Amino acid sequence: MAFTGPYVCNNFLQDLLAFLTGKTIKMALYDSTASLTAATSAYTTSGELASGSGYTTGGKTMTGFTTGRSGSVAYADWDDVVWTSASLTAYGALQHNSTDSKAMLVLDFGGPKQVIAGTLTIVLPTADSTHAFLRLSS
Amino acid sequence: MFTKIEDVDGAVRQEFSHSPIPCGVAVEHRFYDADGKVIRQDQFIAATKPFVIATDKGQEIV
Repeated sequence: MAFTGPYVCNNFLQDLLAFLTGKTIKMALYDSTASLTAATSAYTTSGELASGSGYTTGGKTMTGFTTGRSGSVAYADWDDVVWTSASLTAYGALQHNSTDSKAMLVLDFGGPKQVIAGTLTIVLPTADSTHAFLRLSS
Repeated sequence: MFTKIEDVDGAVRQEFSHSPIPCGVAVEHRFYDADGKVIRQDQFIAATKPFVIATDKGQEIV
């Protein structure tokens, strides 16, 4: 028997994402003063929108967590994140693991996104290996 | 650029726009009153640009 190369085993990819199971994952909104980068390690209130007008600091708890794998691509996804009856202006968002106080993903809205007495919806893609919000591949 | 999609008795109209953003596409939907004032504005931000983390399996053992 010969080896055919080094591999990250496919099931391990999904196992890595499965650590999010049971965690409280949130999406927080930020204004233009926020400084969120790959170096952001934890949720921060710096630059976060203030509570009121349809928003609560810390962000919205994300629901519908699901993981899956197709071949060498494992993925994780959640339901859309929705703020209703809101009046706010957001420039971006931070997805964070509230259970462990860890930052996860930074979303750049590309400019001010204003909601007036309305609904802000972050539409997450289909949960599959080619579209899911978070994918891990080897 | 906004596109008018509906007039309601000439009093209330709705408009929407699409704009690409770094994490996907944003759709803005405005609702106006008879005086042309925006009385409601919704945002739909599509996270259609997924976050992909690729592992490196090309490391050498020396």
